[in-house]
Amino acid sequence: MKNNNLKELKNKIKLSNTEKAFYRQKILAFIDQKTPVESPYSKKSNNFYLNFLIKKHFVLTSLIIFSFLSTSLFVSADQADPNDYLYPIKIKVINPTQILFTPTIEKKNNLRIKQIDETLKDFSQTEIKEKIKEEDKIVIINSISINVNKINDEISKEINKKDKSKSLKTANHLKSILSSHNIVLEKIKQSKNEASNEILSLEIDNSLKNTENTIHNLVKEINQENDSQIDQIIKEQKDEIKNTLEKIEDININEIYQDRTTEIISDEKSDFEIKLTEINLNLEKGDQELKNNKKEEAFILYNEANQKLEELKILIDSDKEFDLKIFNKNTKKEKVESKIETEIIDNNMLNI
Amino acid sequence: MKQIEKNKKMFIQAYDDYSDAIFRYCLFRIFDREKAKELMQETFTKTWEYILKDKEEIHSIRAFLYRVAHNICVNEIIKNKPYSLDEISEKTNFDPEDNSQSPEKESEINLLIEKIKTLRPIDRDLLIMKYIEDLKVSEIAEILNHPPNTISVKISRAEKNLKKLNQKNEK
Repeated sequence: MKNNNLKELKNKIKLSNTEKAFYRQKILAFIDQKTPVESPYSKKSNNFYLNFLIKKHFVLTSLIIFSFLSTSLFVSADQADPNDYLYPIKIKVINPTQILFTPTIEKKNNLRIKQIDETLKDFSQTEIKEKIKEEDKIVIINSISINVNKINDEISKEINKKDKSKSLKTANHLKSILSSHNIVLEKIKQSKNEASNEILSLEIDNSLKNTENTIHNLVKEINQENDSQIDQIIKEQKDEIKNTLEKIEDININEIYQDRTTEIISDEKSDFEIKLTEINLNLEKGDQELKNNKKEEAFILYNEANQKLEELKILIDSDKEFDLKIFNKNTKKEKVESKIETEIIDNNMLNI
Repeated sequence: MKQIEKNKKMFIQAYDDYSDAIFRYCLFRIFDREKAKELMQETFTKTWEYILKDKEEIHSIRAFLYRVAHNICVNEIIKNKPYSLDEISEKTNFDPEDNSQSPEKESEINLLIEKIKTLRPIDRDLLIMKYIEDLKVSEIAEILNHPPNTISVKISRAEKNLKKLNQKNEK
């Protein structure tokens, strides 16, 4: 095989430089014509949007159905009462979600107090009519415990801040709600003659102690403030007392005794009037201390008066709502009579 | 987009390296220079279209180009009537004039071309790919889609046939 000649063939039979360049240009032009222009969107995202467009009707419909179902569930659960199957969802999901979306700590605490009040009202209203399921009672007790602890923790964290009056107001409000509901629960227990709500009452007692501790610490901190700040806080307390008194005075006291008696006997004192008397005493003493320039003692007395007034207002509302005859009459007279009897017996014993 | 740019660069390089070889291959199948240039161009354009489709990675662009050229030439032959030997020998535009060689050399090469023309197409292909284009047996096997052993046997047969032709002419 004449390899040299074959190699020569290779050198001989080829494109000329002109031809090579000519066809190179043609092929380059072909490449440019055929090469696709890059889309501003990546291949992956193109596919995503394409798929979304194809399926958008399904996606939109699903979203609408889901939103509708969620809203319906939310609304239904929010209106649920104890013994409803949606009630645990209200306590465990809806209430915490509402708190989560509340912006400030002060508003969160106010919302927590409102939820505690509503929960205890729901409980009382249902308990009067029918027995509440144990599961729901546990849910209620846990929710109250969590909320009260959270409120007291938040207030304790704020205790070193300048504006303590708002924290005090929150704590007072919480205490009033808890003590008034405690009284309502006691009345329910008496009316139904059963001790089925002992655990809830114990939880409320615990919560009360917790809150009273917080108030005590707050009062202590406030009393360490300078005079002008204490004056400001006392003024705010007095304004609050005035506002609450006006609200109570708007209520016709006779309404409380409607269908119970035809006339009010002046020397028969009701729980309602006893409470009012105690409040008035607090206020008088507070005024006296203030005159003697004992601002710290005055502040404590005004604070107690404020708490009791608020408690009284809540009890008046509960009396109307639950029709439990919260404010009994004749209690003081009975106590006085029994005390005299005891004294006579003791004296007689001595004489013997 | 980076991949396309990379492919483009690789493809242009392949043109610079193998355009002559593909042209020669087409020429020895068609025996028409102008047509061979067109088929060479078509080989490269079809290859670029394949690359754009991004189906499979091309391991050996050289082998791929030969395979495409082979298929294009076969289609061209089927489309047109087969060349007769007389027609082949009458073809004048086989290669451009080259005045750099001596007349003796020139006549030797022309004679060789004439001999190659008379070979069977498969023998012609194998000898051109093996001895002119310096392709390996494995590469030829890939191009022609035959097992390498078969290609080796066929190459040796083609060599024998050309040798016989040489001996015949010498006589």
